[in-house]
Amino acid sequence: MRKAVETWERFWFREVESSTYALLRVAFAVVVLAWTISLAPTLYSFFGDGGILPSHPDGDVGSWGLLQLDSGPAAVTALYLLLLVGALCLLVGFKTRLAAVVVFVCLVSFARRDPWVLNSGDLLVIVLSFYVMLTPSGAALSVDRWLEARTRFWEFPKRSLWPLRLIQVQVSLLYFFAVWAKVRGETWNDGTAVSYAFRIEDLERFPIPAFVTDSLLLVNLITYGTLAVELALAILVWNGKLRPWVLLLGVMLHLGIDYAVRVGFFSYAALVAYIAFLPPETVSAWVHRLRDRMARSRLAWLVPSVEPVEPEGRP
Amino acid sequence: MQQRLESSRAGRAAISVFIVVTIVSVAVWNLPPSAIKEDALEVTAPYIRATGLNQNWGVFSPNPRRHSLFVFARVRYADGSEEVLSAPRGGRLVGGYWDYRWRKWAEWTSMDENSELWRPAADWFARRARAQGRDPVSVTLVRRWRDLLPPGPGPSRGKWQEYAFYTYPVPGAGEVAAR
Repeated sequence: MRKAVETWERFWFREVESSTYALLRVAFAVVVLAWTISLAPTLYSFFGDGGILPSHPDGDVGSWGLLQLDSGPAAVTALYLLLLVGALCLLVGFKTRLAAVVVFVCLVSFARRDPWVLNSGDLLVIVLSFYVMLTPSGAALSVDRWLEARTRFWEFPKRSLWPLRLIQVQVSLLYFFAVWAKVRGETWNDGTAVSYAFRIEDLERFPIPAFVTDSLLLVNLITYGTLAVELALAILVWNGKLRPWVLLLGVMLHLGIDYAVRVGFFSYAALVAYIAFLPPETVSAWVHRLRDRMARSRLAWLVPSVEPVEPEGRP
Repeated sequence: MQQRLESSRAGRAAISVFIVVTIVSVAVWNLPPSAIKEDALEVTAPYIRATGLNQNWGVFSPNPRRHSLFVFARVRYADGSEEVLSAPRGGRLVGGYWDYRWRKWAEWTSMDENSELWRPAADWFARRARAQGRDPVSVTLVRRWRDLLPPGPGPSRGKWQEYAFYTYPVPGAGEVAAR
């Protein structure tokens, strides 16, 4: 029992450098900013009381959203601007926790106002916003850090691993259930599913040549390959040696989907979630290398310079 | 505050409960339909909805859609003319990052079980026509689709088909002409 508790504590509560949290925050904020800008052309058509859904749908127990109170043009505009400001603050790490809460509340509110216009990618952005809210993502590489400990700006104070672990488990579950749902379908079993997915004209983005979608051999390979990669992302991603390769396959899968299908932000949200699997020491090394390169380049003015000090925690 | 919580045994226990509840709730939400899922959802669904974790991971599952689908509105005007209005569509490069929501809307709206979406949609098209200074008298929502045939030798797609699934007599029609 004691050993189980120790294992649990080590798995969830080990302290790690906060660099991965910082990278996750920046990448997520970029996606949220792009997502927010993408709403602009259709903001009132989708979410206003003069749009395609004039009144707020009734939610089930637990459902909530700020636009339930008012979805007139002023309220929709205010929520939109709040989301924009929240995403910008999250990007630079200013009042980071508050910014993450604002982003989460705004995203959920838009989603609840018109659930009929959102796809899985939009919902994944919302799921990530919930987890980002739990992370100490302003602990490093942020305005908050700059204001709190300017001389230690380039250090990554240690923080508990559990929010990152929670995102890792979520990613693993995502692919596990995706595979489970797919293997119940006949086209995933007979190896033709990808051919149909690539030929749906209303969802088509860049075309896939007909010799690919019409070749049973190729579509079988791509269909079963997709299932294999998703299964690997559910299970093999937990193996430290295989993880980089599994994630690389996942990146290729999602970039392929983004090329061929109008899935909006689905691929980019998934790639942001992959960041949770990057070892903090690796991310710290990347950041320091980038800082040194920038400091020697014409972009040196962008690099906050600080006096060298002993790392935090040492006498 | 979070660090203080994490540094105490009781705090870590509370976080552990939160972790277990979250993972179990997400897992239950994504289970295939079953009796155990129905029972468990009674407890976990409110939490999942409140936290925004109500994601379903069934992209293109159990099968991808096996037809292409568009929804458009056939608008009839007081002067007897007709016009077809459709949902906006963006270009391939950038448009794909905003117009996919219109595709999703068309997918849901075309389904008979979502008939509550039809009137507001038709009304929205009528208002679009009015905004151009025209006088719509009726809006008919039409779904246009064609089947995707199994891959292999032979044609890859069937013929386009259309079905008018809702007609909306525009309230106050003829007022623009009267003015």
